[in-house]
Amino acid sequence: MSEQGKILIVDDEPLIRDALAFKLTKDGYQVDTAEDGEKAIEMVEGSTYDIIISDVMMPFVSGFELLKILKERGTEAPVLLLTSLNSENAVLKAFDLGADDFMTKPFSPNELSVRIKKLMSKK
Amino acid sequence: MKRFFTQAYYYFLAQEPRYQVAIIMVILLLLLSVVLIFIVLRERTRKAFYESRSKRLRNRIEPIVQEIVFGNLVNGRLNNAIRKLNRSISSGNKSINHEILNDLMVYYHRNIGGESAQKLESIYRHVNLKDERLELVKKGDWAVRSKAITDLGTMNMREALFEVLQYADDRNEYVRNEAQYAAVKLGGIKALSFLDHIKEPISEWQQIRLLDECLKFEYHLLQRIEDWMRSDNDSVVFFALKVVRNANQYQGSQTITKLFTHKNQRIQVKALQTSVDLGLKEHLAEMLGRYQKANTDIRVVIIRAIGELGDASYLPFLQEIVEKSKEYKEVMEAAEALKRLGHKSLLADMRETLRDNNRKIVEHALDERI
Repeated sequence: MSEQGKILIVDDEPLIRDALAFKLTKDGYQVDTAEDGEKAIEMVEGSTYDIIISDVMMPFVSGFELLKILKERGTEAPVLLLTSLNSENAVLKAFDLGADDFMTKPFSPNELSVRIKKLMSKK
Repeated sequence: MKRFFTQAYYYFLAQEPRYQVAIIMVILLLLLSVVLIFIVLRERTRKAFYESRSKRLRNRIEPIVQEIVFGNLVNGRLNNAIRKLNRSISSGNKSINHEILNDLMVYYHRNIGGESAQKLESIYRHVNLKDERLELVKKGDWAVRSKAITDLGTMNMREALFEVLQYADDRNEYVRNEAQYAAVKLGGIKALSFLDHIKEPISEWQQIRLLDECLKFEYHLLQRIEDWMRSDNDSVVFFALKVVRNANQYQGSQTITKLFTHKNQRIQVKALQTSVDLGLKEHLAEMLGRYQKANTDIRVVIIRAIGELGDASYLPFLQEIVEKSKEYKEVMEAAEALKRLGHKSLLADMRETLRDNNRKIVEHALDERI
């Protein structure tokens, strides 16, 4: 495991997934990626992550459903949801389901880095 | 082979006319199928070629763009990366390459903000994508033009505002809509100056898009709002009323009363509703003055406004409608207005003195089960 921490990025959009992976690898994290919620659940079962960053709008298993499943299974890694839904309901639902942080797209990668550092320091 | 065709020809001539027609039809259909298969295969090959080329180019340029946007490059290394990007898109079919890079950057900009978005904007200018989009806006067909305008708006090319504004009243609805939307994105609420002169209508959906964009900006006092409410273009008047209502432009409230007598009845209704939504009690006297000459639909809106904004001084007016009006909608609305003003008991007392029809309507209004 890298010194900075290990992060799982879950997003069905390859461009965003790759861009985030590039940015966070540059920041010194070890990064794994998953293209949907199902794959993410498999990866979380097979490995330990310090933070999980997930998109909300995904096919098969949405970010909200993924969050719910992870919390039910007792995953301790903080979850940061990333979405283009910026309604109050979406934010409330995310925190209600146990999200540790929430960002709306378009998001600032630098702000994301700061938020990740903050989540890491809370662990 | 020649012998085969000669025999086939004589065989064809020996047939009855109806079989000859059938044979000709079968041959024509076979030929048509071959042509269609050829076209489909050619299109598929072309598409596959384009997709594989796009994929290859994207694989090549994506890491460079990522390096520039997220890599904290400075001076020499940044210039090298931009040169590398320029080289990658200069080989082969330039216009396709530029289109692929454009789409990639627009996609990133839609999802990424902050300093990274500013870097994207900077590269967009450096690799001349902005100038190319401006060319397309002038030369392309409507689909190309509207996409180019959308891209300029998404990429926040503020210096293109003047060019974009030229298309805010374009005859093509799609070009016009995208130009108006991009203008507001690029120039903020001040870019709404196109409303001063547009002749083409703004669709209801477009008004909502523009309003949504306007509400993202800080509050501005719109000096021109009263002119927009006097516009000959009814859709501009509608939009102005929406802006007054949603962006708290109270300075336009005096002009709203002039719209109570607008030639377009939908505007009259919208103006009355706007007064109610803004809680402009001082407009009630104007509404009452309009009441006698108005048709039932407008009268109903006025009665509803009195129910929302009025006070006890309007009770005689409402009572008179409940007693004397022969229009179901007016009586019902007046009864509801009396209820809203807190005079349900007065309505109940009136019941016995009313005509049969009006009494039934009032009973209906008083019925709590409904």
